[in-house]
Amino acid sequence: MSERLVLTRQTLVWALLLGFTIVSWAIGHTHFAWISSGALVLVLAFVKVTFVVREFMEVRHAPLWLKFLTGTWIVVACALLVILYTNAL
Amino acid sequence: MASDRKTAHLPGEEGIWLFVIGDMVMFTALFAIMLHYRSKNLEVFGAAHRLLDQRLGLVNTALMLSSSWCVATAVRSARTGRFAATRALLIAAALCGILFACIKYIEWAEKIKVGLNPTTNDFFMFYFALTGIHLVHVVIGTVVLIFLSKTRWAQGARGNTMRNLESGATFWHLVDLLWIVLFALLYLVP
Amino acid sequence: MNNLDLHPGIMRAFLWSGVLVVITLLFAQGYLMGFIPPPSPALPAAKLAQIFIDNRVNIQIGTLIQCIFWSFWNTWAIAIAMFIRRMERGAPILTYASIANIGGGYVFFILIPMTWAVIAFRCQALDPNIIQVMNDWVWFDWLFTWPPFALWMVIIGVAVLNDYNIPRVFPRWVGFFNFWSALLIFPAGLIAFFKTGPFAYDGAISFWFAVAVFFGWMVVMTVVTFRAVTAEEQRQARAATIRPAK
Repeated sequence: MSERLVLTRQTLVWALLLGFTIVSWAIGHTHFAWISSGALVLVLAFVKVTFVVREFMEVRHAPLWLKFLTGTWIVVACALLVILYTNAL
Repeated sequence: MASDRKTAHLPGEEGIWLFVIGDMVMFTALFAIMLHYRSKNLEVFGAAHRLLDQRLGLVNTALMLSSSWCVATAVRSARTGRFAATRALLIAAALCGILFACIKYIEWAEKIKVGLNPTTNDFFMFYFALTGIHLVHVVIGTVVLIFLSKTRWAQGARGNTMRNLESGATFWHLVDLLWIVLFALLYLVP
Repeated sequence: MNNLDLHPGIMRAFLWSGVLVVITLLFAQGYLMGFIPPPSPALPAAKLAQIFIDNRVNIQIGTLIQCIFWSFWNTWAIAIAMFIRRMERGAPILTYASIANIGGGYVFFILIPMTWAVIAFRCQALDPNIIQVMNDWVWFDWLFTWPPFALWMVIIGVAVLNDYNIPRVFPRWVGFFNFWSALLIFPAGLIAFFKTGPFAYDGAISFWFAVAVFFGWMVVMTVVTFRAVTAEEQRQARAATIRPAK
């Protein structure tokens, strides 16, 4: 295993997550004609969650049943919340 | 690199994943209930949501993400035998947790000072209740991290110590990911 | 049997008594009294008083039944405490803390039907506002008192994770399950702030969800403790073949 602690995959993920956060914040203030910006923000949130789950929680290397469970939750939860959010508009 | 591993590895023990996945499901139910109440009250939710301090929310998100990085790196450093780094990173993550709690307190105090409390309207009911329940998780996670930072690594990363570190790390990442969704739902979506 | 062995018959009877607690709760408080779910905290006092007056006899019978069966919270919980003693090394700190907690819990529970019985006793003559505050008190007694129960769940979790026996009394996931349950009943504490909505004492989260967590926890603990009793019985049988009882 690599000895590096700072120039690592985790650091890249962290930077990406911060980037997504800023993008989400900007989207929340923007109005799009073709898609609800709120739905986009929610989807981005779950993209961030996927990174946390796969990279930080190391599900990338986990047994299949855990990948399945967490993956299913991410998809179902994202869909459910996006539907509940947009159906109200 | 971690990606060289050929065999599947479950971080921590099964019990912690029961806790984690269970919590994910429960929080999703809470979020769904909140969105249901929102759909009956779009104007109230829309107006109230704009009263939240997005800058403080962003700072808290940065704290959560950074503390997760600290914890993930702490696990890496323990696996490579660099236990001083492990201890330092765990303490850094715990400090992030404490800072998060302080900022949450400041946020709540600000709201209450201008007369916004859990009974003001449905949005603020969910705001206080959900951030409150999350805060309990942050406090528990911070205590766990402090406890883990006291691990004696004298005999290296033996079976149980590594497993306990991974379990605690997993719980902390749960706290982080719950905040990610919470932040989007409360602060960002119009 | 020596003094350290757990009598499987008594243990099983105690565990079944806990099943009875849940069944009679559903029957007496749910069906007879109609108090599952609670009447809304937003109900005007006069309407609430009318519920007691209309349903008086059913409430009185139901509360008598409940006073009897809530007692079995004690016996059910003590069965688990006996295993905490087994899992614990040295002086029985966690065991004593458990017993203290269990005894306190029993008091909270029995005050629920007792208070309702007191209300029903003179409900026609009582000021409806007094009925309302006494009824609120009952629901707070049930839900707002969650912390000691959460604390006991944490104690059980700690005992399970520190179990030194081989084989273990309970699988390790039971420990984490207890920690999780302790966290999940936390929303019951929010009833102090709301009279309507999901966090009121008749709400989706503070009542239904919290109660589901608590009784789900009882079901899981009952099942795993039954298994532990069976394992204990087998252990005693093996020990008897090595050293026949005198």
